[in-house]
Amino acid sequence: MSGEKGRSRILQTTKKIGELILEYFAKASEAKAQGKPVAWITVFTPVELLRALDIYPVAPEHFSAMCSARGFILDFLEESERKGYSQNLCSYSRCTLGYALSGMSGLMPPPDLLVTFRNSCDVYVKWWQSLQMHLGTPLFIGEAPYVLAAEDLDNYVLDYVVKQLESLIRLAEEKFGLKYDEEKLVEAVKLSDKASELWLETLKLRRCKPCPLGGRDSASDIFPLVVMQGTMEAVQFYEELLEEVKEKASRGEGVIENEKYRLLFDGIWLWYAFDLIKYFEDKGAVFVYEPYSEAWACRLDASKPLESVARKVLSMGLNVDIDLRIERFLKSIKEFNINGAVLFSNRSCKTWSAPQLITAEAISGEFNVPYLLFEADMADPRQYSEAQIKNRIDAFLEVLGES
Amino acid sequence: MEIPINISNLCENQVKQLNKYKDSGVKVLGYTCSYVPEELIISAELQPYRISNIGANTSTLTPSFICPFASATLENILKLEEFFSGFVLAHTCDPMWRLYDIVKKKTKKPVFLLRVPHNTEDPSSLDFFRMELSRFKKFLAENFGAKVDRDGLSDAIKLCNENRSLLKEVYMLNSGGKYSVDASDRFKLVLASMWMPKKECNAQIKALSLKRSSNKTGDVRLHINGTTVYDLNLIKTIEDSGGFVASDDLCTGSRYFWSNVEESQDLISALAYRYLKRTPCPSHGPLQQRLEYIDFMVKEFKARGVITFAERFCDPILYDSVHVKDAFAKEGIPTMLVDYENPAQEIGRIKTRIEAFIESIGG
Amino acid sequence: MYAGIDAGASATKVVITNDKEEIVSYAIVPSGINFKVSSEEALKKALEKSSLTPKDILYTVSTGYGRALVNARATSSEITCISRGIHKLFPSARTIVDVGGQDSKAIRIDENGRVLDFAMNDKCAAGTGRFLEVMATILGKPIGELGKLHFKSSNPVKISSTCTVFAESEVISHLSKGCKIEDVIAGLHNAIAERIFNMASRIGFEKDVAFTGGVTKNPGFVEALSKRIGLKPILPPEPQIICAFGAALTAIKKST
Repeated sequence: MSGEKGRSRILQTTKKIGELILEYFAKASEAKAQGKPVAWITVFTPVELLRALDIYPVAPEHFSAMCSARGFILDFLEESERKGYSQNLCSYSRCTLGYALSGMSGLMPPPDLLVTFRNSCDVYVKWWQSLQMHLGTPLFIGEAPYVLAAEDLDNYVLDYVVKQLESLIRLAEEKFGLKYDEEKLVEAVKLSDKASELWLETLKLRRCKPCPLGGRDSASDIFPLVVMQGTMEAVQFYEELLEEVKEKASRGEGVIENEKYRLLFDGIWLWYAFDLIKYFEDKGAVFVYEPYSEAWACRLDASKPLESVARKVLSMGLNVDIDLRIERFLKSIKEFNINGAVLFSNRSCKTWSAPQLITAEAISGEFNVPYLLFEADMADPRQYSEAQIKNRIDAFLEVLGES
Repeated sequence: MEIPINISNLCENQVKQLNKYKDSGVKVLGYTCSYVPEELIISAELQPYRISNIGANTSTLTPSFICPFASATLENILKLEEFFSGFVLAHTCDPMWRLYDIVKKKTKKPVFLLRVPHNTEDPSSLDFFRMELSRFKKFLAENFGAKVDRDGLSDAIKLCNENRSLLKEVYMLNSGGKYSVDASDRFKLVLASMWMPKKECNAQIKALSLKRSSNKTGDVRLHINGTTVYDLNLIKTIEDSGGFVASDDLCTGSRYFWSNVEESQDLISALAYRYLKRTPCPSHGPLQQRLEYIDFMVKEFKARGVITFAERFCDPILYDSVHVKDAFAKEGIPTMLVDYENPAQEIGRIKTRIEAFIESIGG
Repeated sequence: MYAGIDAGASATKVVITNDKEEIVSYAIVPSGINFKVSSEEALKKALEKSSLTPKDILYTVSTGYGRALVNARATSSEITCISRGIHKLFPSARTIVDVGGQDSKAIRIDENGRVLDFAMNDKCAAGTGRFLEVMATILGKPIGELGKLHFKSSNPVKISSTCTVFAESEVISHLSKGCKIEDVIAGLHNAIAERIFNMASRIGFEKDVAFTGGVTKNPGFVEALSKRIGLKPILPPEPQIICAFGAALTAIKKST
C-alpha cells in the first residue's frame, strides 16, 4: 500500500485483505446496478440484519480509513472544510462528507439508505444527519443506550434495541418493497458467529511467545468482521488466517525474532502511518492486544437471532460501562503477558479519548505497567508530528528496557 | 426591568449560594443538563442545582481537544463536591456522556446517568425514556430515602410549570419587534431558576415590574443559537456593540422553559413526554425540528441575523452550523459562528467579530 | 481632514484623507506594546508629511486590534473598514483576502461595498504573517527577501503540517536533508496559501478578488495564493494601509 514507509511484517493471509476490499466494493456497485439498495452504515450497525433484508452495507468509516492509508484523503477533507465543516471534527466524517459533496464517483457507491446505531459515539448521529441534509437519502437513527450493568443486556434496555431493529425492518420494507426473511437472518447470524469464533480463537494465539500476529495484521484482518459479517467469504478468510497463525505458533515463529516487549495498543490505528508499527517492531516491541481488534467479535445465538443481534449492538466496543472496559483490559494484561501500554489520544475520537486517562491510571496503578500516551489523528495526516511522537516512543521503550 | 440584587449576584458567586444551602442543611443534587426533570428532584425534597463551567478552568483529566465546557464542568463537580449530596449527568453529547465515566471513578457521592435517546421521534424511545425516569426515581429513593408520591410530584410539576410560564412571559415581551427586556437581564432570571429555590425565585419574578422598556431601541435585533451560555459577558458584548438579543434557542435560554408538562394519569409518562418531545438539544435529533424552532424565533422576534455561540470542539454545533448557515442563507438572513475556549480571555477577538457582523447588518 | 487609525497587532497605520475621500498622507509604525503611543506617533508622522496640524482633523475613527485603546471619536471593525477602503479604490472588487501580521480574513462585498459574509482565522499563527516571521528566523533570511527567493525555486518542498510548531520541525528536517532554501521558502508560501484558501473558500471567490494586508507585499506569497485561488488578484500599491483608509472614510461618513 502506498503511504507506508518500508514494508511491515505481515502474514500471508493478511495480504489478501486488499483484494477482499476491492471485491467487496465491486459487489456493492453491482448490487446497486441491479437495483438493490446500498446502505451507508456506522460500523456497529447490525450487518446481519441488513443481509436478511437484502440490503448491501458499506461503511464510510472503513472507506475513510482506506483513503487515509492509500494517501488520497486530503481532497475529501478539504472539500468538507470548504463547505464549512471545522477541522476539529472527526476526520472520518470530514472525509465522508467531502466525498458526498464531490460526486461520490469513487469505490463507495452512493447510498439509498443511511443507517446508524448510536453506540460508539454521538457524533454518528450528527454526521449521518449531515449526510441526509446534503443527499436527501432516507435516514434511520437507532439508539443503543450505554450499558451500565450486565442486566442491561436482558432488561428493558435490550427490549428497546429489539423494538428499534423491528422499526428498521419496517422502514426497509416500506421504502424498498423488501421482505424481511428471518431465515436469512438465522443464516447470517450463524455465519457471523462462526467468523467471530474463529477470530477470537486466533486472537488467543497472540498469547504465545513470540506473538505470531502483530498490530499490522490485526489492523487489516478485522475488515471482514466489520462489514462482511454474515457471509461465507468472511468465514473462509478467518479459517485460513487461523490455520496460518496456528502453524506459526506451533513452530514458535513470531512477528519478530527478538521479542523484547509485549505491548497493548489502545485506540484506532494511525492509518497513514503504519510505519510506526514497524518502528516499534524494529526495536523489539510487538503489539499483542488491542481492544479495537476484538470490538467486532461477538458470539451470537441463532436460536434467538434478533435478540442476539440486539445484544451485540449494545455491547460492542465503547458502549459498556468504564468499569467493565477496565476489567477487560486488566484481564488481557495478565493473559497476554503485557509489559507496556501505548494509548493513542485520537483527536477524531473524543468518545474514546475523553476518559482515557482513567484507563491509563488503572493500567499503571493496578498492574504497574508503564504507558505512553500520545496525541495525533487517526486519518488526517496533517495532524501528526512524526518527529515528536517517535521521540516519545524512544523514551518509552527506554523506560521499558530499564524496568 | 430592575433585577433584584440577589439574583444578579448569583452569577458572580456560586459558592455563596451553595454555602447558603449547606449552612441551612438543604440537600443539593447537582445536575448538568436540561433533560433532567427537576420535578423529580424537587418531589424527592432535594434542591436541584445546575452545575456548569462557571469559575472553573478545564480539567487536567481530559485531553486538550475535549469540549472545554464539559471539561470545566468536570472540574467544578470535583472542586465543589462537598456542597452536593449527589450528581445526575445526562447522556447528551459525547463529552458529557464520558463525564459520567470519569466522575463515578473520582467521587464517592452517588452518581446517576440519565440515558436520553438521541432519536426522539421513535415511539419506543418514549417508552424507554419513561423507564429511565423510573430508574431515576428509584435512585432518588435508594440514595436519599426519598419517597416520591403522586401528590408531591404533581406539586413539583405545578411549581416548575409556573416557573417556566413566568420566564416565557418575560421572554415574550420582546416579541414582534419590541425592545422591552435586555437579554442580559432575562438570562439572569433563567440562571436564577436553575440555582435558587423555585418558590422564592417565582415570587421574585412575579414581583418584577415588566413595564419598563430597554434603552437599546433601534439596535440591530439578533437571535442567539447554541447550547449553553453561562458567561453573560458574551451577551453584554453584543449589547455593547449596537446589538439587541431579541431571541435565542439556548438550553440556558428559551429551550429551558418553552413548553410545560401536561399532567396526565401517569405523571412519569407526562414528564417523559415533555422532556423528550420538546425542541431537542443540538446533540439529539431531529435536526429539522430544531431548524424550524430557530426559524420561528427569528421571525417572531424579528431578528435580522443569527449568531451561533459554540465551545471550541463542540461537535453538535459544528455540524449544525453548516445547515443553519444554509437554511438562513436561503432567507437572506446572515449567520455567524463564534467559537471559544475561554470567553473571558478571548473577548477582544470575539468583540471584533460581533462588531463586524452587526455593522454588516446595520449598515 | 479626516483620520483613520488602524491599531494592528504588529503595526499601527494612520491615513489622512480630505473631504473628497482622497488620501492626503499616511504613516506606518510598529505597534510595540503601547497602542496609545504608537498611534500618536503614527498620527504625528502623517500630519508632518502633509504639513497639517492636529486641529485640521475634524473626525477620527479607529479600527484594528487595539482600537479601544486609541484616542478616537469612534471605532469600527476592520471588516467594515477594509471593505470601504477597497471599494473606494477598486469598485469592481467583490472578494477581499486580507493577510495580516496575526490574522487573516476573507470578506465578500456587494456592488455598494457592503459586507455580505466574512471568515476569519484569528486563533492560529499558521496562515498569518507570524508564520513567515517564525520561519524566516529559522531560515536566517530577512522577511523582505523571501519574495525574491521564492521565484528561484524549481522544486518546492511539501509542508504538510497545519500547525506552525510542527511545520518548524518539518522545515528543519528539510534543511538538514540538504533541500535548497528557495524550495523551502516556496513550500512555506504554498502552505500558508493553502490554509488561507481553505478558510476563504467557505465564503466563496467572486471576481474581482483583491488582496490586502502587510503579507501581500511579499510577491512570492502573492504568486502562491493567486495560483491556488486560480484568479489574478487586484493588488493595491500600498496594501497595508487599506484598512486605515477605510477607517478615514468611515470618519467622513460619521461626521455628516
